[in-house]
Amino acid sequence: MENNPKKGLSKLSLWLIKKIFGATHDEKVGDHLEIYYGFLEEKGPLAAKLLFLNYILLSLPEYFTFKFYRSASMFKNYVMIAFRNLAKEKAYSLINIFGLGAALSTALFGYVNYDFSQSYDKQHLNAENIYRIEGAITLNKASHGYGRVPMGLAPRAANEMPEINDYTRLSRMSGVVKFDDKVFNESVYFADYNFFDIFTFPSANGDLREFSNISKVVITNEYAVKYFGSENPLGKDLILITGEGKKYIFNVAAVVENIPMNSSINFDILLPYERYQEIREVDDSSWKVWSDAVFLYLEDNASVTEINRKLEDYLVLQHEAMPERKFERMFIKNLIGLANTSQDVSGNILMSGVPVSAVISSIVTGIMILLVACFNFLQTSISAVSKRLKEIGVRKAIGGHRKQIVAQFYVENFILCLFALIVGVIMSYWVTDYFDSMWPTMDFQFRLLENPDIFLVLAGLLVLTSLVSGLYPALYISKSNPVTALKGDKFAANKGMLKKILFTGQFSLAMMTIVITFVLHNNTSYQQTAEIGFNRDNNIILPINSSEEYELIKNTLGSNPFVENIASSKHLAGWNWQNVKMESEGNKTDVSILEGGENYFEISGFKLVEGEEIDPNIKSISQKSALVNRKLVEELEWDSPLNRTFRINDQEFVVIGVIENFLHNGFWREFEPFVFALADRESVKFSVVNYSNTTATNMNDIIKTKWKILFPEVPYSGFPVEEVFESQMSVNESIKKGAIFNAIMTLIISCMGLYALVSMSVLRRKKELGIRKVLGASTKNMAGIISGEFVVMLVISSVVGCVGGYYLVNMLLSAIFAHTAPFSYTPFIISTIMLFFIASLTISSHVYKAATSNPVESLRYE
Amino acid sequence: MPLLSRTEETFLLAIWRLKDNAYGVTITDKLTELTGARWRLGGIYVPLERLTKKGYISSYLGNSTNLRGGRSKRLYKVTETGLAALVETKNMDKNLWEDISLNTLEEGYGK
Repeated sequence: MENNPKKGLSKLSLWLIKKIFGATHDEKVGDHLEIYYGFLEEKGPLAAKLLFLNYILLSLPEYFTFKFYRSASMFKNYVMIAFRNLAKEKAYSLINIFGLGAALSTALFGYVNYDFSQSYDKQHLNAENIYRIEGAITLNKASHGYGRVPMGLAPRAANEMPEINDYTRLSRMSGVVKFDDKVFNESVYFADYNFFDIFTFPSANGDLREFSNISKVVITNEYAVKYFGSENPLGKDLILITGEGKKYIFNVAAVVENIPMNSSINFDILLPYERYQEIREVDDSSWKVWSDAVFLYLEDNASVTEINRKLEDYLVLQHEAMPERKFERMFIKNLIGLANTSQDVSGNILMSGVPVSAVISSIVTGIMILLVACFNFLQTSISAVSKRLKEIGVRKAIGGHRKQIVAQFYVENFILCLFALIVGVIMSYWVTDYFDSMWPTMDFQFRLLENPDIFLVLAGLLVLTSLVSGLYPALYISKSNPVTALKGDKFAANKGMLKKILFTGQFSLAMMTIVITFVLHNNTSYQQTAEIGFNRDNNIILPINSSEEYELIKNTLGSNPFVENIASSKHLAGWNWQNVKMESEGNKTDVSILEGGENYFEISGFKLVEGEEIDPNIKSISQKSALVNRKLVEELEWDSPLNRTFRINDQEFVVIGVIENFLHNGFWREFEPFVFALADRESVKFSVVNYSNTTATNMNDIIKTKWKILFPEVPYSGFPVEEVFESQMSVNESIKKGAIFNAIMTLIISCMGLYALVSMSVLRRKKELGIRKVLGASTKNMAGIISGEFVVMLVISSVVGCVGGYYLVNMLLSAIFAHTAPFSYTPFIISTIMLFFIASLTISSHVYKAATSNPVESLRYE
Repeated sequence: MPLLSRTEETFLLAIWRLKDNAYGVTITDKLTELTGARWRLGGIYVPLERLTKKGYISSYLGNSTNLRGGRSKRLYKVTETGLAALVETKNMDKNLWEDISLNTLEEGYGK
């Protein structure tokens, strides 16, 4: 029996103790065996087996404690060694920490952006049951949602459909709001009394239930301060003066907290809907008047498809009441997610969320930069590891386990990543602030403590980056044979190809971002100076109420030396127009009509392609003269557009000229068919003053002074026309800045990697270079030898980067704009030169040092 | 010198009493005998490692027997530091218990 020590021992027990103590704790396995043989001698084989199993099972909690204690102390060891290694390679560690940190912060911004875009309207407790009704219309062959629906729809539907609990309507109107001497032009909103029952807007002062009769008003905190300063606004009276000059008094019922930026509904002054109906002289039964937004509050388990189906029954009523805008369908959309689709909805008064393309592109660039940084990390750690081959060989030779070596590398990577994460989080505050200041309608905040999700994302990013970046060195190197490792260089030489691929990949990505930046830059400059088809400079717009006001303005300002011309108009090019149906030769087409008044055609600078301008003196009631744009001619396939006739809203028009296409909607949309006609004298809404030899601000001030004399009752609301285009320009500017930021980030990270790589390469070839030098290689030769391989890789990267960047930037631009700068080689050439310039700057210091160093230094043994 | 904990004290005394034959199995047996509680192998390795780390005991690999499947014993010895700590504990114990007999404790504060 004693000759075969394992005889009779249960396999399970043996397996268990071996599993627990492993090969490193042989004597502990021995102790257990001794216990087993003790049982065997006393009780015989069967009992011994059972007793020993029992012994082990009873000890399981103790074994667990033991295992835990061992791994904790092992981990402590790994951490200690890791810190020593990182401190030894300070440059390498710092490059990786800051590179990864910077990349993490852009990736985190992608998340913040996404998070914000998803946060719209979540503040409303009933959000899941709130739906907006939209109509479906076709505009220029594309299907759109239409935000306005007939006023009578919701009351009737709520009455006939049991699944509708309640409804609330919103309408917007502009008017003058007055308190004592404070008079401002405002956009006021009207809502049904139950508005605050359905939507959740926290009250800052007063009780929102007070919003219950026709003379109450609810305002935001900001507006309470604007009108009442530090006084208590509750119970104070605000006066609304409508466009028709009627006055209404409203008593402040409550003040709500400022509306957050992630809210679709964004009012400053909210008045009762009943009053709106009174002003417009309509009631709940009216189908001829629009409500600007209508929300239904549904039962918990109401079926959306069912309601959409039932809404079709009302189409007949809608078509009857509004023949000029017939819906094809009506449907409901949940409040959550509404903001993300709002920008495609016509007739929309709600706020739009972050465009999907912006969210996607910020996530994609974030991931791209993170990838560059991971490549970089992988790159530098492989290079650094080849220096540690001897250490690994020695560890293996003295019995280090592969597991332990892998663990050592992972712990090192993990610690690096942890530091990078801390740097990344700190930088995130700065990055988010930077982007936040760029987009005035977005509220990007990096709220670490308020948002537990960020912690999950952070932890995920940390584990992912440390796993991915550490995978190769940890697994490959620990697998290597100790003999080869101890012999030295072989490993590093073998892995040259992989390193080259990584390097090329990383620089291709970097090149892509540079290309994207320059193409975007090019596009912005193009759009800032491009012909948009009408004049938008040196004009000041004055909203007016009647042609008499226009005459007064014309007479007063006409003599001003700066004023070149004064026009009146119903619409303004690039700002507003009207979508109508045009009937010509039996066909119906969607077109937009722009009606200008006196002098408007000249002042807006439309270009006549053929035919002649409209003569304001020829007035015919039966047939009006009209100009059409080239797009309309193309769309209707008119061979000879002149003298063709068409009808819009029962008015007959005759084409007397064709004008050049113009970008009425910035660079976002394609050209659309347009009709230009003379506005009726009574319908003019704007006066446009064209000036020269002075600044917009100065001219605006001059007009403002005159305005106060002419119309002391009415607040001045004129503005330079450039302001209208400012939002387009600022979006453009922001995209450009974002792209530049990303490009700089990738370049910095990549150059850090390049720097580390070249220094490793020079270090590895130290002896070779020394011998070459001794044998008489010139400094020039040496520089060529060292930088040669990098130049080849850089050339490949720039080709890949140019092609990839070209496709990516085209995708991005076409997602945002319909009109972009024509293709040009310049951005690609500039990007390539820049990449090479920066790369050679990075390389050259090393090359210079290596080429000029004394060969004795490098050849001396050890 | 920091005071020994009760566990440390017990372990050191058990190892001291075992002289040259203090290894896993004998230590568990001794502990069971001394404390009256059942000790198993799993429970002694962590305290032994802690004592080693603190320098109170040292260990070396000893002979092996067939009964151990050919595996050596790890034998433990109390070091000089360990002995000094024991002496100090003993002295403190003496001070702590001076003038207190079992009888007085059993009687409590009552009388």
